Amino acid sequence: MNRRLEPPMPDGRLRVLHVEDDPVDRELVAATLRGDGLIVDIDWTDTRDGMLRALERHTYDVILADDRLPAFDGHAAQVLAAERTPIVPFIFVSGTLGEEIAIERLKAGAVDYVLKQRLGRLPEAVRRATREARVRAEHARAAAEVLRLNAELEQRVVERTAQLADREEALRASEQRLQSILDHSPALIYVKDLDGRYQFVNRCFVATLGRDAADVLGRTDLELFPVRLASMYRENDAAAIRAMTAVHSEEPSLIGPTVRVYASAKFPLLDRAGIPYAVCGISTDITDRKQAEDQLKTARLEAERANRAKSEFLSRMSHDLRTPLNAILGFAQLLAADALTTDQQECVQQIQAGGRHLLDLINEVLDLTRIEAGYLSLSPEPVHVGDIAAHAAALVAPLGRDRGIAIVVEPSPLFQQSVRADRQRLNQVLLNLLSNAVKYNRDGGQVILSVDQHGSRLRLVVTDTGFGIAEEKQTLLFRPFERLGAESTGVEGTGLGLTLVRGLAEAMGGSVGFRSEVDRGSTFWIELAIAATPVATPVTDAEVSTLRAGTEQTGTILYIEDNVSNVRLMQRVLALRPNLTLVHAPTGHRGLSMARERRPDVILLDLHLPDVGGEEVLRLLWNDPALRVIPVAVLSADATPAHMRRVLASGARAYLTKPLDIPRVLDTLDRLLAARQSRDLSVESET
Amino acid sequence: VNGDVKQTTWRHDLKNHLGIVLGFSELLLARLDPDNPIRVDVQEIHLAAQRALHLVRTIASDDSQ
Repeated sequence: MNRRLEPPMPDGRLRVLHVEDDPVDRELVAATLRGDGLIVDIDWTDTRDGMLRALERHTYDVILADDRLPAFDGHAAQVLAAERTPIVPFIFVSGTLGEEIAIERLKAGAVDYVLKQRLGRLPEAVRRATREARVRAEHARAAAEVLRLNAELEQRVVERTAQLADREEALRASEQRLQSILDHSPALIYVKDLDGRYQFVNRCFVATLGRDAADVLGRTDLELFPVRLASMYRENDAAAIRAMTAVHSEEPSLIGPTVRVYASAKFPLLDRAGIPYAVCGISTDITDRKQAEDQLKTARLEAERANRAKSEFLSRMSHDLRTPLNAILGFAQLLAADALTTDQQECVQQIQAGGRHLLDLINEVLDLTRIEAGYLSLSPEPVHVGDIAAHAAALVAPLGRDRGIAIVVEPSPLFQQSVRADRQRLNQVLLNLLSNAVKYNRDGGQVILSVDQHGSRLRLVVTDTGFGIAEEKQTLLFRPFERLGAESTGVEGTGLGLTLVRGLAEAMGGSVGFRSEVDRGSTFWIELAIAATPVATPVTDAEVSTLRAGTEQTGTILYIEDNVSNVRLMQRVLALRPNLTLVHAPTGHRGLSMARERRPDVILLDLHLPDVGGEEVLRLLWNDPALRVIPVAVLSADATPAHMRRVLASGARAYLTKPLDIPRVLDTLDRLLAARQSRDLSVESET
Repeated sequence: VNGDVKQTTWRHDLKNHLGIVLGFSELLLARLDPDNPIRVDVQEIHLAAQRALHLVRTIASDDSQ
């Protein structure tokens, strides 16, 4: 009951509750107190309710009570006061209180008793009681303060302890989390001190090594791994410390008998001053990835090898097929020159057509393999557009003649320009496009060859009035061997033409394009860069005559050739020059010795010989001053311009391509024989 | 020109046209008198076409390539 209902009385004033029914006694007590100099405010009551109200209203410095009241008594008042205000001193003021009761009352908590008869004692009793009460209150306050402080201190200790526990728990959780991360990492994680001793290793490290952590910690790489590996690891550790940052490296490791490869990141651990005190490494096993990479690399190399093998194979097959094809075309040419019945002529024409088609197939495959392998040799030069267009149109014109298809070169000043191209290859492209335009045209149709300019490029455009190509087939147009159903129409073709056209155009830095409309016709074009300087049109070769009657020249021709069929063909060809003698050598060595023995007037040299290469034979002939004067005509199926130039530069006087064009062979022989006496060393070729 | 399909097509085309050459040379031989001197030339063509066909068949059986 520590309620404070009002501020304490001002200094020196005492608030007194006097429980008394007698007005005289009330006055007497008040007068006694005041008379002794006490400044008092006194409330009176003589009932229990009145006392309760008073106690609720005020805090008293002292309670005085008569022992005997009509409606109440001192003892009940004392009990009530002890209940409500235990620290307020309680003094009995009574006229009748006996000794025994007085002692009882004092035992129950009253501080004093004053007989009404001896009321003069009262002021002193009140003073003492209030003084003692103040001292008691003071003590109580001090004790309470001590208790409060104690409690506060205890509370702080509790809080501090809890805080520490929290912090410790957080630290433990953090460590546990880190440990968990480290332990569940699929990478090896480790810390080594600057001497290279393991200070920490994670679970993966231990599991991978197959040792206990205790067996690893404190040891160095040298104690755990082969010397060569250990020193590599140490070097990488040192590199990280030198670099003061993470250093990445690939580290092989020997785990039991197997070699594993790790991608390691190593970085220095720094103290507060920024000085490294250890190196930490994280090593991920990348063996599988490396193996997959290796396998991929091997597979790629294998695929490349297979592709190369296929190209080489096709190329070799094409070469091999040329020999019998030469015979077919050569003998067919001879037959065509003979007097035959119409029936027989038709057979020969079919044979020639078949042979030419076979030749196209072989040449085109060879060209395609060269383009794909990237070793198509080109001789880019400014090519006069008008000349090459006219030349190609003239060559294709006979194809359309029977079917009434006209080839029209649309006049344009642009035809005076030149494009940068390989002359022979551009010619091949135009022949392909023009012959397609004829082949897939309708009878009586038209083929128009025109030229457009597109920026710094010229477009040679071939337009036909054919059946066009359905849209769904257009994507297949440039695929090799794709004939879009033409194979069942009787129109001849290899299905390689457009593939080759595109390959050649691109190899010359150009492009091809087309548009087509069903029933209206198609337009194909090749676009090439305009050449800066148009050059004068080269003089075309003199037209070679047909198999004309032989000149009367005599002489010996040495033919160095291993293929019997070709030799027989040449024998048949030379039958047209009865004054010439053909001698034959099947190998290069035999050819050289026969050249020395027989001193032939002309040597025909095949480049594919069983013992030595034809070019080597050519070199040996040239190196012998006695033989150097004999003109050599080289026969080769490998008719690239670069090859031709090389052979001619090595001393050959003529270059004849296989399959042999018989009139050209005869013409070449005639010219070489005629030039014999003049010792004319000028070079000629059939290009 | 890589790929087996292409090779197969190519072989097929070669065989076709060699067939034409063979056929017409045989036809021609049948139409020529036995003592006609140009028979030798036709026989050369026929022989060469057979050799070529043999080569093409070698390719055909050599599928390991």
